[in-house]
Amino acid sequence: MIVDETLVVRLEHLAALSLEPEERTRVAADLTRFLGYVAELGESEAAAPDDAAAEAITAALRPDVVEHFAGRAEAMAAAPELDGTAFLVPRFNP
Amino acid sequence: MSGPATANVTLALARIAAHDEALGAFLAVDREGALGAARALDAQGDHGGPLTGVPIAVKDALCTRGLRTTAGSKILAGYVPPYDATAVARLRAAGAIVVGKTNLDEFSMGSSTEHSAFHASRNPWDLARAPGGSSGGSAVAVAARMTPAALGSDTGGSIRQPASFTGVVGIKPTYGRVSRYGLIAFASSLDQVGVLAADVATADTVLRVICGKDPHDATSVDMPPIAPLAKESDVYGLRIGVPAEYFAEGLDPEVEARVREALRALEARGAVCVPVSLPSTRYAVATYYIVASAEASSNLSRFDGVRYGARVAGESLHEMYERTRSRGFGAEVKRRILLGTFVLSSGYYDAYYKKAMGQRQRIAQDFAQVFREVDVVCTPTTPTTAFRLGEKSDPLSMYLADIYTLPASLAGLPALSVPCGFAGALPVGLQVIGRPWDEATVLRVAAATEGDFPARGALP
Repeated sequence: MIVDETLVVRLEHLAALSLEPEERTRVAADLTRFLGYVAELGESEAAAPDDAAAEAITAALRPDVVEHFAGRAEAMAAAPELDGTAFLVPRFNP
Repeated sequence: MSGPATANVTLALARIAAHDEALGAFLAVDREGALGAARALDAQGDHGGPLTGVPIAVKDALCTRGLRTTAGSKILAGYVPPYDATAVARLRAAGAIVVGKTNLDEFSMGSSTEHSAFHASRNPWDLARAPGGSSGGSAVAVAARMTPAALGSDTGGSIRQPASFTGVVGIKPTYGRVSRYGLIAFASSLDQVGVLAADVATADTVLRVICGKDPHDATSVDMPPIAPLAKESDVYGLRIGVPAEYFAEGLDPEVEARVREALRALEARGAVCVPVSLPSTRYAVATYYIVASAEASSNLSRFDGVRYGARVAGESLHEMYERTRSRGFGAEVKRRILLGTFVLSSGYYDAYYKKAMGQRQRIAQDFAQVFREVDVVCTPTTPTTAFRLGEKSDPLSMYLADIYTLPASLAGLPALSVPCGFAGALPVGLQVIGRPWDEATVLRVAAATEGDFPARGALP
């Protein structure tokens, strides 16, 4: 895939960045080279992951599931610290 | 009042004063704060903590209360955190004394410490060479014996690679073993705080101090503590996996020779080396740079000139954001933000990010299968010894040099680099990768290797 300067300008807008023209040229070339490397690897021929085997290793990661809380009490129960009615957060002006 | 803590800190500050101008390990040295803490400890008498009076350096990606924290970036120049990272707080509670903040690649994005916004660090074994990165300043501080240990962070090898390049021990624990609270985020599903130390016993002691569940980090896990390291490291009967994919094209012959010598020495102690295969290793560089850049593009959106750090004025709010971020971030950080934005953007997400997440699963699955047969996996930490400053000007060539450290990071596994001799005048590291939560076995293998390859001389 070729990354042209038009695409880089779009990415800059999405990322709230504004590159100088020479930076933009360099980034376009760097991204093109990296994506070319990714393309060279091609599709993996490996079988689909064995979930049971991977489970032990990814146990520290939380499942990517959107949870629906029944109400305020359940949501508050997940807070690291509470003062009884609200979340406790670090002071910013100690 | 003078005492052992003051003496330790005075010695550390003297070594920093003598050597840091040439090495550039530190971004900030807290001379008065460290001496004050040492005097207070000495006045207190027996503190009883496992690190009482031990001077420690801290990577400048970790927040330190009242001491500037920049993450190696101009966008955070002048930022003074109002709190300590949990790992730092636990060190202080154990009696350790923070002497300063160490240099790093900006926002931990790099493998040489050349991408720091402030200055490059230099390898004590050859000042023309890089110390590795991104925790390069911490590695240099330990290698030059400015401090006996330092905190670092490892997202794709940022502790192990500089440890290998500078001849020190560096351990990245299992993801979740150490709280990330107060670590300035790069890629949250990969970032992990760890230790660089002059020897395995010190790394073990510091790691056991900083690990454990923290209510401020939901990804930290309440696991049983790491078993203490035995005086005599017994590896008899231990099964060591040796993956063919890590001894392939691109590996320097002298590095390979040192690593194979280390494996033979472990066999002489009764360990059994078993050939294994980790076939998804070839996808690690692409997978890592897609996943980590995607997370970085999200994490670094908070640096907008509003809440903390530098601000460059603009005619509108969006213009202020753009000007602040464009002047505040360096070239490598911008490159990765834009790559991350690209792989998450509409039309490219499935082709890049989603596919990379599948590859990440396959890499983890490879390890899970291998760990049914072996207790640890041993590999070279890096394909080469330390490269010259400026040698890797092409970003892709720098990324490819991370090939051996990335898979363990993507799988969330504990991994360590321990010195195993020299190629010419430069250190070589053996990487030991363990099962999830089995840092104890990783440290045991490292201690045995350390016994087989004692450091050459006192200092580089």
